Amino acid sequence: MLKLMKYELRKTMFSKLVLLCITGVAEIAYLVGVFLKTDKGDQILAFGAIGLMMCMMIGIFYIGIDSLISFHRDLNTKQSYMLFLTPKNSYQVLGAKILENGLSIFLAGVFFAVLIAVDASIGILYIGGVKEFLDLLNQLMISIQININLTPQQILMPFFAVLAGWLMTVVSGDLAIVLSATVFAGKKFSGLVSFLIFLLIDYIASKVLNAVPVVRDLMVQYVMIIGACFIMVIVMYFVTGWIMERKLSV
Amino acid sequence: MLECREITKNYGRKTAVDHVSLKIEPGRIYAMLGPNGSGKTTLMKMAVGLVKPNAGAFYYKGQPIGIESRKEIAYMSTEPYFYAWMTAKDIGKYYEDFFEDFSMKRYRDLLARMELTEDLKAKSLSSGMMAKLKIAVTMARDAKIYLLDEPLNGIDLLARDQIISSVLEAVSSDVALVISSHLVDELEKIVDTAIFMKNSHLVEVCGAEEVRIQQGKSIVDKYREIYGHGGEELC
Amino acid sequence: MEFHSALPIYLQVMSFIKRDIVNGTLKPGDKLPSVRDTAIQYAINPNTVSRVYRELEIEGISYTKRGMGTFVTEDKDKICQMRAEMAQELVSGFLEGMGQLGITAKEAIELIHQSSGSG
Repeated sequence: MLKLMKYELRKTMFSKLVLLCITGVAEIAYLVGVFLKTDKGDQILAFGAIGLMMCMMIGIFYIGIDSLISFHRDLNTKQSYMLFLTPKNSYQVLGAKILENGLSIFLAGVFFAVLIAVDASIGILYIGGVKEFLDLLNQLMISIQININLTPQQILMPFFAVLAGWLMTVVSGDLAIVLSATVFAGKKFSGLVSFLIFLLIDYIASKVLNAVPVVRDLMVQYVMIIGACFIMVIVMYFVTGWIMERKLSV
Repeated sequence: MLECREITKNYGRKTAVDHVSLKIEPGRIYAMLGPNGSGKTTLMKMAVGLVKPNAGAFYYKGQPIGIESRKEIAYMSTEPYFYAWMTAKDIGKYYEDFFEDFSMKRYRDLLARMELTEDLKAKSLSSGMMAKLKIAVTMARDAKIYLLDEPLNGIDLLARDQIISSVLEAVSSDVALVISSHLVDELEKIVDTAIFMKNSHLVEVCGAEEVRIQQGKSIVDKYREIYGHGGEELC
Repeated sequence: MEFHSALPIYLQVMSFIKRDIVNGTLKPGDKLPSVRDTAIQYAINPNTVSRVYRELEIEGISYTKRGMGTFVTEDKDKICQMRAEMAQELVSGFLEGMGQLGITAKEAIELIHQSSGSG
């Protein structure tokens, strides 16, 4: 399984490195902007900050898309023999792919969360000076006390819920790709039909998420949503693996 | 050792393999003969589970084929199938990662004999070099059954000799080889048994020396009888 | 190695080996290469080679030492006899061919004298 994951990582390595490079450029722009302290610097800072946000959103989105592209290639080109000649069953092949992708999405999320937290701290420290920063922190503390209890956890939970939701969408994409390569193989409009099925699955999945009961504790709420996403991922994983094992001809 | 019973595969309305039953015994070399499109490739792919049959099944040592059989059956497809980023070295590493019977030493030996180097990129190989690389990585496995789909396609004469030697080296009393080809005369001397496929059916299985002894015919003669030509125009 | 593809290959390989024994390339008591090596050398099927070795042994041209391999017979008379048989075979084939051209044995001998004299 680890070996399969190693090669899954290798397949998607290039786009991840590109993402890292672009993020690096945006990060440098942001830091230069922070230290320049001129109008020009402010522009560079804004450019860097927007760049980083874009990298985070588009990057995490693309990590999922890239996995779907590579899965499509793994089923529909001769390259499929690489996977399906090995003494591994469809569950292992698919499992390695989903695990690698899930971990990549999660780690990319952690990476950007840490990066943004560090950048924000640096920005506040250097632009405002240490004293202002402590004041700001104080004010923040007061506002937190009075208003909502906004802890880092509470910022992060929705973020990770979004990541889990994205993984669920990617896995429903995997299921649609397998359906197009098996049940609808050789039929007209198999791509279109599969896309419609993907939309349907995703619609059902969102209904399932909506069905998660509303609780007063936001934390528990998000844990439940993330849990529901994972259950959907697992269910779709088994359905997809089952179809592959029985029907898939590459 | 490897057996299929009444196996059938349809692609849409086209039948690629039609109710074929066949037994492969250890210690023998088989030629699977027939023009392109006669069902050879599909039959081989079903033997390793790349293609799922619509009816019937393949059995290895009495069990339906699956993960266990893939550990002992080495299949080489006609088409190149390596990832574009791979070098010959990466390909060896990949096989070493997944097949317990793969020998890196033998792989390096075979590469050297085929005059290939480990730093060659899969993407940039000519068809002849790719054919040699595929043979090297397949024959570097110590498998019980080798299924080679058109191993002599697009290969120059000298390399053919190399490939035939590496194939013959793999033979032993517990190993079976199946080589598909439409180049009949290339296989004439090296096979025990010829399997003739025609229009998705298995039409005849016969021993090569028996045909020569009993009928005074070569396998090429036999091929002409069955298909009405010697396969030359397909080369 | 060129083979006639419509004739049993084992017979053709047997005559190659016999020829090597008769002309001294293989000496009495020499070890014959293993089945696998012979198969690779001639690029033929290993089971065919096994059959060659079996038939040679039946004819008394070789013998097997258990675990050691196959050896050329040390019986010199046997080799002489084989040499005579093979020569006889060639001669009858030759004469048959000449006969088809309407050349008598006597004329053929004359032709042989002429060509070996001038060649």
